[in-house]
Amino acid sequence: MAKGENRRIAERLAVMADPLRSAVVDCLVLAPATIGELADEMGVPAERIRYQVKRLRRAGIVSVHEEKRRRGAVEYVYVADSRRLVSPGEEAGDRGHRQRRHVTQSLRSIFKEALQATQAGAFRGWEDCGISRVPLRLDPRGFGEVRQIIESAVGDLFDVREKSSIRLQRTGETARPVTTVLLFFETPR
Amino acid sequence: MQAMADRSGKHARDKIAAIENPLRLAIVSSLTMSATTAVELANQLDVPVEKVRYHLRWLRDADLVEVKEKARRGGITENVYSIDPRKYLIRHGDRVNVSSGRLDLVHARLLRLMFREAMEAARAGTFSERPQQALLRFLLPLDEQGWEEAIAIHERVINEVLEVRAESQARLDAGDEQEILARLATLLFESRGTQRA
Repeated sequence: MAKGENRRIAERLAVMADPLRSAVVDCLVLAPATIGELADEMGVPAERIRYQVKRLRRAGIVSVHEEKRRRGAVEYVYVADSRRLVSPGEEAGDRGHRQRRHVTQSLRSIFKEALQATQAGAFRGWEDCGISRVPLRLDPRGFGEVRQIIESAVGDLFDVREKSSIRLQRTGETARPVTTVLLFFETPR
Repeated sequence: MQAMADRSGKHARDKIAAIENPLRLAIVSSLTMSATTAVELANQLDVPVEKVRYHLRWLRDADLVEVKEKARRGGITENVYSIDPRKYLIRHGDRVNVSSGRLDLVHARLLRLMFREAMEAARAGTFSERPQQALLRFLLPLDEQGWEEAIAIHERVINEVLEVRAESQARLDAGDEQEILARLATLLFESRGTQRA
């Protein structure tokens, strides 16, 4: 790796080390937003967001997506470039970073898709969607049990898919494209 | 009957309003992990205690948060707040008179929060620390019956996980088991009109 490249990676890593900054980047990777929208989203004063966005722009991670005119004033809509992101360990050639990168890339594509579905109205009727987020405090045995619950659910979902496709073939109806996501992970302290 | 429907409608609307405010959502998240006092919450979230008290009162009025017990500390009695996770979960059938635009915003907010939390775990390395973690996404072409069945499976997962959580918490409170903070997030939606990978 070239020396300059290493320094850029180190710089970007330092930028992402701040929790508020990385939260701003996560928001902007999913969808472009203004400072006001970000502040509202995170419940943080706009001034603090403005400051962090400035730093992120300097690091080349965030850029202006478009300019909006509102009552004579110009408002900037920002966006983050996920190709510019690095994960911890990358600069050291740490092996774990590959796995972390795989996780972060998968998460980005999953949530991008879900957000697009929101905009398309897929989540509008309560009976037509499901979003749940369950914080858990578990012991190791409980952790294993949750994993088993997920595994058996996956088996059942595949069964449902199989039986659906048999019925669909019989009736010639078009299928509803359904996405299902199951995430289960330990949270940092 | 009508009165009951109205009440559950109001309750569902309150749940949505609880998500709309970032601080309220943070308080609720924290309380689902463990019961605590207003002062501790204010410390955890780094906000003035008056703000936390205000939102706790709001959440209590909406019947989303309850006082579990009173704790005495330095001659002052403080409420210890707790939350019943079943009350808080927004689930299928929570149909309410909320405009679709507002619902879209709430959903987007919840999704972004879930994404940020998962990303935080991914960056810290805890996401992939244990072999039992899960990062699963499937595309299921389903008919109506299959859709209903998939919803039922998701609901079953949540209920079973809540049971495991209760049992785990009992064991944690009783002994010196190692405590793991974790998160389950599930999504089920029709991917019509979205780009598919």
